[in-house]
Amino acid sequence: MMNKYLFIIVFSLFFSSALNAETTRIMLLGDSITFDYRFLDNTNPRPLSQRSGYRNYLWYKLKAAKYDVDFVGRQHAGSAIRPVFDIDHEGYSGISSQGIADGIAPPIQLLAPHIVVLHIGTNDYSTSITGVENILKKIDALEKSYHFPITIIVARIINKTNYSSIVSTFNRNLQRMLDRRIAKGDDLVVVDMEHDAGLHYDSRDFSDLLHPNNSGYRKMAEVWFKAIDKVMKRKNNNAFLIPTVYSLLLN
Amino acid sequence: MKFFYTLLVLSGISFASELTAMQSACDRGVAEACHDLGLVYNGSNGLEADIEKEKDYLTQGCDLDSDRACEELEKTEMKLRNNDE
Repeated sequence: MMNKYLFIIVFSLFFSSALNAETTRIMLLGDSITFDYRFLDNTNPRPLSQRSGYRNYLWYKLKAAKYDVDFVGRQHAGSAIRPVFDIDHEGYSGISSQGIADGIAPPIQLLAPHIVVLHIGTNDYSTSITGVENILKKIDALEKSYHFPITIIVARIINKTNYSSIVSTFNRNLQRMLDRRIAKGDDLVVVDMEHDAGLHYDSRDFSDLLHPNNSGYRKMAEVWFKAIDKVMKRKNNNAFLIPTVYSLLLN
Repeated sequence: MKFFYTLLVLSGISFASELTAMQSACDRGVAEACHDLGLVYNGSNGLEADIEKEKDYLTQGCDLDSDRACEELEKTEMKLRNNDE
């Protein structure tokens, strides 16, 4: 009897480590805040190789935590940044949430991310969260079609240096919609980037009205990391539990 | 493969610029977007200062009942008066 349980535990550990061996694909999805554009780039553009936003800081944190991750995206920016990081992303300057919803199917089908990190809505100039809801609906449909679960980490978006009540209301509406979806079992995680990043809404953390500077991006990366860390730990636990429960059921 | 990739990008997400998004929101009557455009052109946000554009956008924002746009517009008009003197 003892041997049987020992076998189950050893088998589960082996099987879970095999499951965990797959690199976790993370898609960083959003607008200029993901891509790294600032207004100064209009008059004095930085090359793509020097743009990283929060992406490099997030990468360094994930690597320091020894996570096996792969940032996936059809866009690439930040190759000159040191230390090097994975420069793939899905950030599009000026895009609205509906714009992302309209174009979300090809990158999801092509790149099959395990985790999507979403910061979108700044360019909407609206309190409506319909665009974000459409993104989530489309991803849900793709998950069902391809039988491929995706965890989406959605941000209550950062505000601006001149406080915007539109952004705050958008965030409150977003939270309500996400709470509803989570209650129905949708695999979503919400982060409050507006408040929890500890951003100073002035030149300490922003390079202009809308866009953080490196200090601000570093703070954003911290919030993203905490959320991804939780998701990764949960996935690892599940990977252990599933074969254990399965083995027990078989016996 | 390259053709396939290009098709994916073209069929997917458009590359509108940030300023275009603001402009379009201002055009549809979002006062905050007009106010933001005014601030973008005041020289403190990375773009070259353009006081005429600054004034135009702040005027639009003020006309759309943004108190902040009206306050900024007063400052801009003061700057213009000082420039004339």
